[in-house]
Amino acid sequence: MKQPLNIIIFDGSFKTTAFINRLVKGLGVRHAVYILGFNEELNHKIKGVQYVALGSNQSKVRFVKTTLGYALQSGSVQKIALTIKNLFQGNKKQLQEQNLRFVLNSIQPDIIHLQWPSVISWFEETLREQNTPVVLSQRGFHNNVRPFVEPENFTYLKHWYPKIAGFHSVSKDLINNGDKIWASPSKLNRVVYTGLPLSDFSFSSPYNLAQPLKLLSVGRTHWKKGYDYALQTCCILKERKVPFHYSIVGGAGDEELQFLIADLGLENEVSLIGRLPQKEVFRRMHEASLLLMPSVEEGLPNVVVEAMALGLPVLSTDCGGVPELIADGVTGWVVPVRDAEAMADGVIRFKGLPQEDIEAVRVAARKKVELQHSEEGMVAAMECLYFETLSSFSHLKRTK
Amino acid sequence: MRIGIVLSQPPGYSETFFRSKILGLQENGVEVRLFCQHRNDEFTLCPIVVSPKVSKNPFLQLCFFIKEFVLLLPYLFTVIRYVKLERAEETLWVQIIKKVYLNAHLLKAKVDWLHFGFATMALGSETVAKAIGAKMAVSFRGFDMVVYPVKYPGCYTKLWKYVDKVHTISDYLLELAKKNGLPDSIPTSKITPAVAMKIFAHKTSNFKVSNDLVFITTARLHWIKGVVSTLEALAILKEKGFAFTYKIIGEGKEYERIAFAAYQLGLKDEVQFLGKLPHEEVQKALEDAHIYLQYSKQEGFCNAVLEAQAMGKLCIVSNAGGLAENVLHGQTGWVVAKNNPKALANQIEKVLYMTDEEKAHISKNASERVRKEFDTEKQLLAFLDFYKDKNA
Repeated sequence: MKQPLNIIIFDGSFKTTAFINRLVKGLGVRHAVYILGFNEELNHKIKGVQYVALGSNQSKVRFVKTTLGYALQSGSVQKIALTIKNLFQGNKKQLQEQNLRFVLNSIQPDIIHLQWPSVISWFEETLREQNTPVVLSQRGFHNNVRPFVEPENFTYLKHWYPKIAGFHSVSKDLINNGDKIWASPSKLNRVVYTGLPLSDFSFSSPYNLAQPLKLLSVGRTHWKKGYDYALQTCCILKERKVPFHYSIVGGAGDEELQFLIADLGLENEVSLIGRLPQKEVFRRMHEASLLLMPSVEEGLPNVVVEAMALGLPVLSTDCGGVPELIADGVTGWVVPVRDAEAMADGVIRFKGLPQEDIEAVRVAARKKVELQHSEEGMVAAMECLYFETLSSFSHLKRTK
Repeated sequence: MRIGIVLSQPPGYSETFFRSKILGLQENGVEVRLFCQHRNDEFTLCPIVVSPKVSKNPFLQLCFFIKEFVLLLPYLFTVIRYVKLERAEETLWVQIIKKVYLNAHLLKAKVDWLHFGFATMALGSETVAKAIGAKMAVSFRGFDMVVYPVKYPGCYTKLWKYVDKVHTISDYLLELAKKNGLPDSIPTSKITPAVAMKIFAHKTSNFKVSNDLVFITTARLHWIKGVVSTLEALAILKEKGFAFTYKIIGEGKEYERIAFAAYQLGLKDEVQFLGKLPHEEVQKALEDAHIYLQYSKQEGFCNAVLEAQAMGKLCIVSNAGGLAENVLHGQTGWVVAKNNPKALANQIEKVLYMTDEEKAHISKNASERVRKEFDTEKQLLAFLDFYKDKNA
C-alpha cells in the first residue's frame, strides 16, 4: 500500500469540471486533496476536499480579507507592510501570486496537478525550482488548436514542457499532439480516460428506430463543434428526401446556426434548444435515434461516451480521440471531419440497417465504455500516474 | 439642403465609399452632419454630433440625464411631438423617458433628411425624424436583412411605418426587406456601392503565372465570409498537385477557427494572414495576386469584389446575396454555388487552365463594367437625386 499524498488540484477556480469533480471525489478517499482558486463561487463543495482561496476575482472585500489574512499569518512585518502597499496600489496579480506562494508553502504538496496548459503561468516559479513535481492535463482546445495557430503559445509551452514531471491526456491523440510541442524519451505520458459513474447511466432497452429519424447533438455552441457541417448534412438529407428531425441541445440563440437554418431552409427540420438539466438531456438521448457528433476537433468528447453508455447509437467525425472510442461499424460509426456529405451518407446507411445490427453496436458500445471509462478505473489510473511521476521525479533529482 | 447621417462611428479612412459620398454632397451645396456613438479624431470632413453617454455608474448617469434634459428645454415642442408620437405607439412612460434621453442628439437636429446608415441603427429612433419635421431615409446592410430579423422576427414593423424612403445596395437585399415586411408603398432606390476609379486604375495584368500562383481574399475573419469553405476548396487543389499561396487580408474574432482549418487541412505553409492593411498595401497585394476569391455565405453586395474587378482581377465568388449582381458569371468573373468547396475547386481549376486571351477578356470586361456602372460620380448623382425627390 502506497502512502497517502498531499495533492493540489489547480484549474484556477473552485467550480471545477464534472471530470475533475469525479476525480477528486475518488482521490479524496485516500489522499488529502486541495482545490485552489481565484473564483470562489461554489454551491456544492465536494466532501473530503479542502478549498483554499487565493484572493477572489469577484469580491474585493474577500480579496482583501484573504490577502491580509495570509500576510498576517506569515508574521513578517515587512511582508504585511508590503501587502498593504500593494493593496492600495491595486497590484492584484502580484498579490495573488504572493497568496499562492504562501498556500503552497503551508500545504507542502507532494504533487501539483494543473488542469489546463493555460494555468502554467501561475506555477513558473515552482517549475523553475523543481522541488515539487507538476503533472499537467493536456486538453483538446489548449493542445490541439491553440499552439498550432498561435506561435507564441507554442514557444511558451515548448519552453516549460521539459520542466513538467508528468503528462495526463484524455486520449492517445492528445499525446501525439503534445509530443509535437516537446518530446523526449524520459517524458512521462499517460492516457487516463474520462470516467463516468456508470451506475447512473442506465442502458436503454429496448431501442426503437423512430420514424422520422430523430437526430440529436448535445453541447455548447463553438466553432470546433462543427454544427455548421451538421446543418449542411441536414440540407443534403432534405435534398435526398430522407425524413428526419435534428435537435441541437445547447444551440439556442447562436447567430450563425440561426442564419444557416434560415438560409438553408431547414426551419421545419432543425430545432435549436437551450441548455437543459442532465436528466432532461438523458431523456432526450433515450428518445433519439442517433447522436451526431460533427466536431472538427475534440480531446475525447464526453457526450459520445455518455451516449454510448445510455445505448444511443453514435455517428461521429474521426476527430481527436474518437477512433479510440469508436471502431467504425462495431461500437458506432465514424466519418472524416469537415465532410457533410460523408455524414449524410452515414445517416442514410444507418437508417437502412437491420434492427439486430444496431442492437449489436449498442451493446458493444456500452461494453467498450464500461471497459475504458469507469470512474474507478480513472481514479486508479490517475493515482498510478501520480506515483510514477513521484518516483521518476525523485530519481531524476538524485541523479542530478 | 441639410442631411443628417446616423452611423455607429465615423467612417474610417479606408472607407472611401462613405467619404466620397460626403465630399460629393458637400461639393453640391448640401450640408452634411454625422450622428455617431463615438467620435474619431481622424475624421474631419463634416461636423460630428455624438449621442448621449450611457454610464454604469447610477450617479453619473443621473447627472448625464439632468444635463441632457436641461439642454433639451429649448426644443420643448419637438420633445412634446416626439412623446405624443411614442404614446400613440403605446410606448410605456419609462421607455419614453429613456428614449428621449438616448435620442436627445437627434431631437436637437435641424435637418431636412435623417438618413440611418443601416436599418438596425434606426431601431428605437423610428419616430424621431417625424418629430423633428425631417424626412426619414434608411439604408440596408447585409446584416440588417439577413441575420438580425432571423434572430428578432418583426423587428422592423415600426420602422416600415415611419420611413419615407429606402436605399438598397442590391436587389437581393430589397427582396429580403420585402420578405421582412417592407410595404410596396414605400419608395426605394437601388444605389450600388462605387469605386473611385482614380484610385483603382486598371493596369494590364500579366496572366502568366511565372513562379508562385497567388490567390487572395479581403474579408473580416468571420464565418459569414466563408473563408473556411475557401480553404477546403484549396485543400482539394493542393491534393491535385497545384502549388500556390493564399493571402487573406483582414482581421476578426475568428482567426483561431480559420487558422486551425488551414492547419488541419494541411495548408499551413500555403496560407498567409496579412491582417488589416492600409489601402495602398491592399492594392499592392491585389496587384501581385492572380485570382481574387470571395466565397461568402452571405453578402449585401461586397465592395472588396468591386475593387478587385476595378483592378482587372479575375474574381471567383459565391452566389450568396448580392454577389451575383456584383460579378456577372462568365462575363466579369465567375459565380459558384455557395457552401460547396468542390464546386469552387472545380471553377478555380477551370480558370487556371484558361488561355491568357480568355483571362484578359474577362479582366477587361470586369474593369470596364465597374468604370461604367459603379463609378463614384454616378453614385453621387444618384444620391443627390435620392434626396431631391421631395415627393417621397
